[in-house]
Amino acid sequence: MRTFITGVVLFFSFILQTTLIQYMELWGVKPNLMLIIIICFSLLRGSVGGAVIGLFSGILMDFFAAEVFGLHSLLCMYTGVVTGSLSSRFVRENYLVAVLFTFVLSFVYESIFFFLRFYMWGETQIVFFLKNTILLEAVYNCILVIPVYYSIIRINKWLERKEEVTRKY
Amino acid sequence: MSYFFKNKYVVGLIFITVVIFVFMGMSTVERPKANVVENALGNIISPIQKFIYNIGESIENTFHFFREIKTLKEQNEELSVKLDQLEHENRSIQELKEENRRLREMLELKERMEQFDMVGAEIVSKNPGNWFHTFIIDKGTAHGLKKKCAVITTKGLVGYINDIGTNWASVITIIDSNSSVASHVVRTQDITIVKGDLTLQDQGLCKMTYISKGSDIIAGDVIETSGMGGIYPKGLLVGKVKEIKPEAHGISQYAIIEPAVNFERLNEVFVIRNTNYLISE
Repeated sequence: MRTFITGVVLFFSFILQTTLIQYMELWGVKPNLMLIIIICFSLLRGSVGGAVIGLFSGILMDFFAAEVFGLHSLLCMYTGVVTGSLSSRFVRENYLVAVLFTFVLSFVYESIFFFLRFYMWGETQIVFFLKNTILLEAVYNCILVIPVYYSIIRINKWLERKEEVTRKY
Repeated sequence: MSYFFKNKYVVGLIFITVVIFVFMGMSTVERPKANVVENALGNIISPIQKFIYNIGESIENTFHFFREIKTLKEQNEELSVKLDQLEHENRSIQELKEENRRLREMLELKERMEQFDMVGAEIVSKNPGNWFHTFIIDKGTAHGLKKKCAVITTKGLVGYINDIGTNWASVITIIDSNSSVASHVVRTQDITIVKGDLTLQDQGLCKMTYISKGSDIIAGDVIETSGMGGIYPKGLLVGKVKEIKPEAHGISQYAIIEPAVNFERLNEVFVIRNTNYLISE
């Protein structure tokens, strides 16, 4: 049940990311809903769950990116691993923690992506992209993470309640 | 160190990482179409994306409608005056067109556009990230499309098909940094390359490189595809020169190109089915 619901959430956030999010562009930048979802789930589920969720959403993104396969998969998986293993040291259901994680990890994620995909191939205007794309996206993600985290916590609680009920009988 | 390898989780992570690296290597090989898994995934997801993308489009159109309602009345009056003028002009154009057709027939020239076997397609989704400008359309091999078919609109060149499945195809636009178009300047016949640029793509612009310092290209010059390079047929409108700047190293110049197509509000495109045939000719 848990796996199924998580799968459905991932699937629909991917569809939203490629369709409706496209219309939410501000100053040439779109938020990265997939990354936010990975961070939210990993905060609640820990490292192993985060790795699995990150890997699957990464694979989904790679299939549709029309690019070399694997870059998103790897980055998303390790985002899940890092978030999950650090989450035990924080109060999990705290929005400030979620915002902090989102900001730092979005920044790191996009910086590594830029470095591997563009900087290494000769696109050297790193300051321009840090300012105009990466930082802006990180801020945008931070705004979006609050409603997303709220809904993920609700889904998680609902699932836990359901699992308790089934355990009794 | 031994602790790490005893830990199943860490070993699992390393294993997956290696597997992804292998896939990464495999995916760089050129291939005629998407593999079975990708194809199946695309076939399932793209109809759902199409449905939701259309919802987004209609929401945006509604907002657009309310924003523009003020200017509509003024425009309407202007346009009706213009319409009268144009109707008058149109009549004389009809005569010219007829004459033109007769003259062409005499010269045995055919309209270039008539050679194109085109099929209309709708955009169903766009690239999830901020770094690329690619999109997915709702037609694929089932509709006679092939990899590297050129994609256009009535305004001009959009891009080409990079990856294809049964009922979906992924298109790289000319503003994407992976794209380069062999093109020429219509007025001066200079042969150049129009490239997508990472810093310009968000503004919907691209870059024309390798212009020699002595070239007399000016802002406003029209750029067309040159037919070289093996992807785009000759004579498709790419855009106009917006600005010319010297390259940082000072040897040559580059120009900023404003594409004829507005990539922000792009929803329907045409794919030229017989692109490859036209080029091999």
